[in-house]
Amino acid sequence: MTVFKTYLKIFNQYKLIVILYTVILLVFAIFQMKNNENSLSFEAEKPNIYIDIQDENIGLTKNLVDYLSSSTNVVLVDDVSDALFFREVHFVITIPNSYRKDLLSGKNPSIHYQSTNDYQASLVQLLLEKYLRIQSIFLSSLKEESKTILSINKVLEQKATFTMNTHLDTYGLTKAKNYYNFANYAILAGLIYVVCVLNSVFRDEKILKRTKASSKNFKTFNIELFLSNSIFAILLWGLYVLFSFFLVGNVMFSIHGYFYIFNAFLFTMVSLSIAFFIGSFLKNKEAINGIVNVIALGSSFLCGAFVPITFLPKSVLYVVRIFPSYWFIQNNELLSTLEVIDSSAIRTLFFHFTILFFFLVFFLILTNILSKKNLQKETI
Amino acid sequence: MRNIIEVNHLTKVYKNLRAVNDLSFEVKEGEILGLLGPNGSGKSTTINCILSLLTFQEGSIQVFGKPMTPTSYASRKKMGVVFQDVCVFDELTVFDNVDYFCGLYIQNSAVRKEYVEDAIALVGLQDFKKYTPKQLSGGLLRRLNIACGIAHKPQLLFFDEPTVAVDPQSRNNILEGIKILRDMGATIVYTSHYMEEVEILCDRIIILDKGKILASGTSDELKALAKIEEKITVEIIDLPKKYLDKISHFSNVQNVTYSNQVLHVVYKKGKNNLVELIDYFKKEKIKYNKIFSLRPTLNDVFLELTGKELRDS
Ligand SMILES: Nc1ncnc2c1ncn2[C@@H]1O[C@H](COP(=O)(O)OP(=O)(O)O)[C@@H](O)[C@H]1O
Ligand SMILES: [Mg+2]
Repeated sequence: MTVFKTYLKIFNQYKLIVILYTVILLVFAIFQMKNNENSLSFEAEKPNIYIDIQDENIGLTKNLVDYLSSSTNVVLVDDVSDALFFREVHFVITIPNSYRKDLLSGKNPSIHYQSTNDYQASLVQLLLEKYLRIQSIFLSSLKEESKTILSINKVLEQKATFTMNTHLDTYGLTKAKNYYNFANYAILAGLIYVVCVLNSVFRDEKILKRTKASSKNFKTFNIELFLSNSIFAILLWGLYVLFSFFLVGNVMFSIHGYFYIFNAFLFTMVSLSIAFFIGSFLKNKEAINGIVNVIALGSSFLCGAFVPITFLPKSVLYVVRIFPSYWFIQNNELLSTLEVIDSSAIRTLFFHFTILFFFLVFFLILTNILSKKNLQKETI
Repeated sequence: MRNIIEVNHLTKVYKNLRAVNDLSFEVKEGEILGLLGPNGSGKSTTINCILSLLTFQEGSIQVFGKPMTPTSYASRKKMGVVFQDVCVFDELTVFDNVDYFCGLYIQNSAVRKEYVEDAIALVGLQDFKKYTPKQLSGGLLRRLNIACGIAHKPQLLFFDEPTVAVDPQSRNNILEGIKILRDMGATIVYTSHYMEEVEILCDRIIILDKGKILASGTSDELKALAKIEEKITVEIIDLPKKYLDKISHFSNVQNVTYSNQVLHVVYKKGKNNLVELIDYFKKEKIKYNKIFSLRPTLNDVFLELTGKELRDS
């Protein structure tokens, strides 16, 4: 409690600069959101797919191929696994040999697919699963092929117009996405800055030496310091969430909104662990601004917090996977393109959540190792 | 008296400098032990080794009968330290600073409040509780540093040169405070390069130089090592050389100098040296202004042992 109480007192001393920093970043976030209102970034991100048609391309098979071609870029590739690895295609669909015949004879032939597991891939998966669902409904009632095709296409058309008009608020979702993408920078920068400034007070060489000489368990000391910081982190997250409700309330009060919020929470915790890690060895207050710029600004830019990452060179897109920001922003992007959040989308979202969670654990472990070393280290 | 600290053959080497060289000593319960030595003699290094803030190459250290490690929290609970450098939070007030450092040891907030008040009263900072360190003068800052180190009422206390660059008023306050702590039962290790302080404060003194113990004992025991009994200083307007020669041949005299109208006579031993000298002046009708005798100081001991002055280094 001593550490927490003192943390608050010191926080109080720095509150003006902390508030100023936070407000400026928040204003930028709002500005960024407004700025990108008209950009239809989801148009530019049509996924690439490859369809391996082993069946004769007629009837139901052809209809499926046509349907997929209309909403994705169908490309040709030489080596499927290479293409997937290098993200030349996001999704590879294999239509087996007797697919159409089996369908018409009442069997349930399966379509194989491989995917890159990113948000473009899950978009294709979404389309495919939707199509197959509708197809199976009509096949069981209508036995004739041409009628089935007509009915499928009719429903697909209807559904598309229906969702475009009422259900999918692309405008709001894009705004929310822009806002939360920018929050990537604001939260990361805000946390690194504040945590490092406040921790450098406790980790001042002389103060730390005095702390080590005391009977305060050094581990408890670090945990108390981390918990104190996490209160600030949660406040910061809460502030961003609160403002998103003011700005795009209709989106935030939907499942999409809850996912945005949870995604941001997880990212806030990862940012906290990164900030705490940096704060545990950074003693020089002057260096903090530089670190904030390099880490927060750098990773935010590279991972697409400010501009869509499709503009960045391909090689960069692989490297940026080492940043938690990438996975956070991928989730934001995915959410903004999802019409309905179905099981496959949730799978992708949770896959990214898991990666973020591992980042959190990774940095906590790293900090713990460092602090153990620090305790044994000579202090003079 | 049981030993609170036992240091055996402690050796600490920095790169190629032997800061502490085969040091052995013990600190007994309830005493004030003084570590006296010039700057760089290894006083701080010794304390940091005892506190297990430094690793060392050879030797062993026991505190409260147990070896010290970085995680000896039970022993640390009974120990307090006032480092040479002031270490306080610039962001916190005097009260909050003492409260923080006391809080590292004492969880109960009611007890802690009382302890913090006691510590602030002991160093006489009652009127400055709401001040921040930047608003305090050097002496008051030192007193705050001390309050932070002693507030949890430890049984064993280290003071590392707490009076360096401190005004006389604060210095007296600090020395009085340390005596009060000893009287309340604390065992104290006190380092300084001011021999006068160590002499009036400490029950036992260890003289250090270049990481080695030169001598140890009570101040009287140490002075016996000086091999001089007393120094007599006389102000004389004019003293012809023949008298000087005469005086230097007195049986107990070790050394005589005369310069700037001041005569210094150093005696090896003997009793009535002053009377003997005054009688001689009367007999020869030599006029003098002031005459006084000084007992040897620890500086003389240091001079005797190392051939250099303690105060100059
Ligand atoms: N961290 C260090 N690295 C190298 N040498 C050091 C270090 N700390 C102290 N020393 C050297 O060790 C010797 C003893 O220093 P110290 O224990 O501080 O002496 P004191 O406290 O008696 O003034 C000095 O010569 C000093 O220069
Ligand atoms: Mg020292």
